[in-house]
Amino acid sequence: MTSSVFGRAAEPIVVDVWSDVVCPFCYLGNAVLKEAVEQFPHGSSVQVRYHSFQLNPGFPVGEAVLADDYLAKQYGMPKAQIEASHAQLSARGAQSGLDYRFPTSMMINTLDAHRMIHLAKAHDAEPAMVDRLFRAQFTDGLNLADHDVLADLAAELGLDRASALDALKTKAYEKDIRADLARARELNISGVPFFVFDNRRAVSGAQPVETFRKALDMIWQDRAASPA
Amino acid sequence: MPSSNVVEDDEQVEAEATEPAPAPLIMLEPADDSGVCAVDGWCD
Repeated sequence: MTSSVFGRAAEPIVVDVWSDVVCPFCYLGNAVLKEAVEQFPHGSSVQVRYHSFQLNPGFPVGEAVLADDYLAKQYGMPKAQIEASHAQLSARGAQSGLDYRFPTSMMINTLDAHRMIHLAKAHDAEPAMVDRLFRAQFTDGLNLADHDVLADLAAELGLDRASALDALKTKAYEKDIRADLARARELNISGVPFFVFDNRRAVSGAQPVETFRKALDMIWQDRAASPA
Repeated sequence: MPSSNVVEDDEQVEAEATEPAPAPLIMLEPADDSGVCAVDGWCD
């Protein structure tokens, strides 16, 4: 069906994504969503917005431990089970161009990392910041609880390093983060990644690219069926 | 997974009344049951 450039078809398809930077499936889901958008014939009409979610809000702020040690201690997971799980996800990630290096990944409280995403959002650099934080967490093994590390990443993306440090020091964007978390509760989101398409259809988890393509196709059809 | 604000795949969303309450989300059937990190930090 041909869509008019006027009305709803001219509005961006908004994909709202709830994720956490220490969530390995969020890294994968983000990459797969991108693949789906690239495949989607109307991909240039898609706008992705990121929202904060915390898997371990009770983790001490500023501290960092190896994620594998945390998993072993928190869940009593045998090392072999952890490694098998990592191998499976690493293989899936590699298919999407991701280089998971789990032995160096750290568990942290991600509140400050989310501040950087909101800072980047204010400078139209949100997707780049999300990508960079995921890579820092799962490939580079950086400590994202360290303010200097976060500020360096912000500077790497062209943001003002001093402003980033100030945002961390003053606990900026608290209201925005809380709003994201509150909205997640309203939607009964119990796990991430979680994707909402046009505030209408939703996908839970790092699903195959076909699932995301299906969601985008459905939204496009929804719009065609109910033009403005 | 989300429950009270969610309906199953392909169900029709009721037409919005005068109230601005958002329509429930329509969940796409997952192709894979894994791929989620839960609120307790457990990823499966």
